Amino acid sequence: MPNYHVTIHGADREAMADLVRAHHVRVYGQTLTEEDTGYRVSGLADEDTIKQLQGAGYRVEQHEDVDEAAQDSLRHVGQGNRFLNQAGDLR
Amino acid sequence: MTYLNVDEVETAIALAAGPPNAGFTELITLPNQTWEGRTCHAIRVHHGAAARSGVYLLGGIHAREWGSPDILVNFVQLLTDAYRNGTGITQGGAAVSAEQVRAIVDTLDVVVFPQANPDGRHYSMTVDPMWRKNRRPADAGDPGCPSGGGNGPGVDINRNYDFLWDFPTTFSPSAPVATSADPCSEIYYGPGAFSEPETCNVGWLLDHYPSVGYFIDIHSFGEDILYNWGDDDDQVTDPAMNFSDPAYDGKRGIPDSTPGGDPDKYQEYIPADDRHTLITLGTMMRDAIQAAHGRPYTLKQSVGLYPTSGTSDDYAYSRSFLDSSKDTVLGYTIEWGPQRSSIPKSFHPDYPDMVPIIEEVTAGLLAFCLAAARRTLDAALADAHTNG
Ligand SMILES: [Zn+2]
Repeated sequence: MPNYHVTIHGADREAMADLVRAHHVRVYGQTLTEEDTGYRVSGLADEDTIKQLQGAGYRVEQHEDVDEAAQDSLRHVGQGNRFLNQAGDLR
Repeated sequence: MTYLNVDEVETAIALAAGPPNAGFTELITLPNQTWEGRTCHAIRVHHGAAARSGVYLLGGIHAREWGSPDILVNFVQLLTDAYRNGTGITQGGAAVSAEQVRAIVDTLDVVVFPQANPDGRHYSMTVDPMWRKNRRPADAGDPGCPSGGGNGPGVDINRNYDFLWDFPTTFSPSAPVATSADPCSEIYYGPGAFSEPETCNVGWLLDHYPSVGYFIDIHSFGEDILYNWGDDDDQVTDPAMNFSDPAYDGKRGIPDSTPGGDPDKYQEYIPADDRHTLITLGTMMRDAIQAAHGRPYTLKQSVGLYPTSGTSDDYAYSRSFLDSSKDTVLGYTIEWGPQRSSIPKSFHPDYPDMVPIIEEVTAGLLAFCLAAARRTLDAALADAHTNG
């Protein structure tokens, strides 16, 4: 089942703590932010978890499928070994 | 330009410890091979008589946080080149002079372990870019793990250190601790504290370089500089209320800012002097980061609504509380880079976006080392006055 980047909005800090304590959601704690009405935090969730959270009263924004989106990053990885010419001196 | 792959990080470190720099560097071979049989290396940079203090920089613990080893390789290359050539270092709008570079290398042991989880990095860079953990294989009889989103077998090394590791016992049942006993979870704490070769390698360097007084673990993301402790609010008044006392088991991990407050009133003891030093040196690091490219990082205590267990920075700092023969090691975690609209891009920005982050964190680390060197020199002067 795909895993989505989600933004989860909850009423209070208790609700945000419950994301981890009760719902075992993987949240990025450093993104916890106070809003006009409660808090929001970024995390990862599949569709079942998103439904479970909505049923529990959270508002959930669903963003990208993280694994699909992450594939684009692979083109930024070095191929071969750019230091091998210099490393000849080490042998 | 591209991120350094696993082989490139190793070669870069070997080169930095090579013949032109042999007089002031040492290539360190870590004793524990990874699950996939890789051997890890660190480098120590120091010149002259035995150092009175040291800074230990760690990177690459979390596989998908690709930029951390690149930051530390940049730091090592610039520091060793500048010392050898007698020059300063400029990163964006931040700079250290040739004299300051000399003060760092002549005063401190600078121990850099840039790629502590090479198996995970290789897997993240070739198969599953969201991979976070090491590559410990599933135990026979484990349920098959669903894959994706960083899930699967393996251990989160930064939940595996021996600091309040056994969170079901040491924390309150109501604490929203950011760790897991589920072997499939991307924050799985492992079958025991220090069960993993990668964790043992990090600890081995602390054992073998007792000069180290400062420890900085490089992670992403969030533009934060975090200092001890991560398990509960800091307090400076009651030394007896601390992580080592089992009387407080079941009471930790509820910060006072939780609604209703903390029913057990647990807070973690930190000597006021240590907290002052953490904040003073952390502020210098933060200001240098901002000077480089204008990014405002936030300096704060590690604990938030979601406390942590088994992390490197708290383990490093906890050691001297348990063994008075050990010197204090103040602990930091840097979370480089902003959150971006995409989570994968937050962990691995397109490389052109990573370049200024590499520069700013390098600038912060140089400023930190300089501040640590000055502090060491000041203490030596004060000693000389007292004894003279
Ligand atoms: Zn990390």
